[in-house]
Amino acid sequence: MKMAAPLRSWIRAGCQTLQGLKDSLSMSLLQKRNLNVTRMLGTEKEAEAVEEAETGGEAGEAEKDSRRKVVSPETSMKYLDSEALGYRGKPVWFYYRRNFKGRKPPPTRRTCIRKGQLSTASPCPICRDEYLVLNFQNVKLLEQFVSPYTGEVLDSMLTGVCQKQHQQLIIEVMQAWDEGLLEKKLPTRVYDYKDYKS
Amino acid sequence: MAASFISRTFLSYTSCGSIRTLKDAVAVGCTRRNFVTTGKYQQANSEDDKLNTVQNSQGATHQDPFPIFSKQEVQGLLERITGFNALKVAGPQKKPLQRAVYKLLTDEQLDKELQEAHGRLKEKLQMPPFMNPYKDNTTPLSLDPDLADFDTAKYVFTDISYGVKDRHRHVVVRELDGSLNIAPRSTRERMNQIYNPREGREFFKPRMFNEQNLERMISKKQYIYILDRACCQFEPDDPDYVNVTRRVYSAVNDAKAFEDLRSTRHFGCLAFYLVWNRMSDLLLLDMLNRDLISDAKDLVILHCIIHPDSQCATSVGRLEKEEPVAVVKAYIETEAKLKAQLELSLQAMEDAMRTKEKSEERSSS
Repeated sequence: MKMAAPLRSWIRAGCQTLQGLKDSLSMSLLQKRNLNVTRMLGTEKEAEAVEEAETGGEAGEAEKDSRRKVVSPETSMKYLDSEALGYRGKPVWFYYRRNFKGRKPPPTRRTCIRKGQLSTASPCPICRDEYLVLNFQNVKLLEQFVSPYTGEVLDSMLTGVCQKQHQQLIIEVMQAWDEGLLEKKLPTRVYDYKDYKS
Repeated sequence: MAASFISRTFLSYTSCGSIRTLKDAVAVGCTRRNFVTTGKYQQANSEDDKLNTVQNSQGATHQDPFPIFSKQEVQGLLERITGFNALKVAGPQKKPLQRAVYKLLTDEQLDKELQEAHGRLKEKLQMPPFMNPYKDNTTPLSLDPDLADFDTAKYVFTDISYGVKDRHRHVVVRELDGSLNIAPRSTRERMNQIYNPREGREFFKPRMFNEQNLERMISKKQYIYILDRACCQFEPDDPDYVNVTRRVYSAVNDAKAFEDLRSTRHFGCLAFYLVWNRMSDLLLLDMLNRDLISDAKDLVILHCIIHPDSQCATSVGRLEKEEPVAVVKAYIETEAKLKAQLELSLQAMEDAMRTKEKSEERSSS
């Protein structure tokens, strides 16, 4: 009789308790898939050794199981100047297509990244590309999200970015305006010379 | 007295510490004199500056430039020099998206519309006042040593009555030693931005005006943007405004990038600054190279108005007819530092004018 591998191993193990079942199932799954689940290994030291071997000795600061590379703003700026940029000269949000039912688009999702990795399908234009880092110095990227006609930040409904990235974008654009890296839309100041005559 | 004071003005009370009732505030802040109606507590006026005409090594006087700048004659000269390139003034701007409006008009209606448009564009070319940086006068209004150490923070009282202009707003500070002083300008600017926020003006000075950022922007030739933002952010007699604008004007002069500022509101101030500091040779050269002889004449006349004791002024005064070429020649001979270049370009311009006249005569005959 053909049985699933985990079930076979369970029977072979002859475990009666639920905990035993769980353990044996996980062990067989581990062996099949090479999942890195540190708590299943013997001691903490062994776990650390395995982690180090896998990550090549890097000290993973923020995320333990991060599949998302953390890229510096400088690298992002180089990326936007490089040939590796594959957006055909258009803004990075131009070819992004949102998936929703009906004609009227709902507001974009709250965030695409949870616990340091992509947790949704069809991530937004910024989350899907690790090398697009929103930073006030990264003027080439920020300009793509600012309207050349009104001087305002484009709505997330148009660009398709998630709300968290949209808020971060607004913060970085405001900082760029403050530093003078981006040109802000300014009102025309009108003077009344009588005010200045003493 | 206190009651009448409250009824006449709206008083706003701020401090770094706790907020008390209006009554307490007035009791603390009110003086025996009704300082709202005396009008004595004006800005630092320039009468002291006018008397102080110290000459420095370059011969520029430490006078207040604003009375000369605001003269009608001078304003007219500067307007003419600025020029009016309609395409540049009405050029692409960042504004809210609007649908285009199409109208069917008669010739007279079209002319009227064009005139109105011209008027609106002329408003854009209004020059920001050219002033010296202000000097804070901190005359105490009253000394009340009995009130010393009334709190751990100073209290700032701002008159937020409607219809009062920011520059004439009464702002006083109750110091910790009990004295009541007129607020320094920096405090008044902050209070104005709190109670009367203006679009384009930030509460904290933008980092754009720091050394590094300014240098970067000047090297990228973003002159107009820096000057526009300085106009929005600062008052014309703010030391920061004066530093930034003078820096940009001298950078434009060094780079000879006068064409960038032509037909903008800043060209008049640039020209005035250069003439005030006797640095107008490069500008004059630029005008002659572009065959703008009337502008060159206007620049020299401006020089004579600003420096009436100079040799140029006397030699121009001696001329019977103020012909453009003669006026410019008088300047070159007396005041110019780049004599050779200016003479050369003037000669080239005269030759070009002559050949043009001849060709016109031939074509007409």
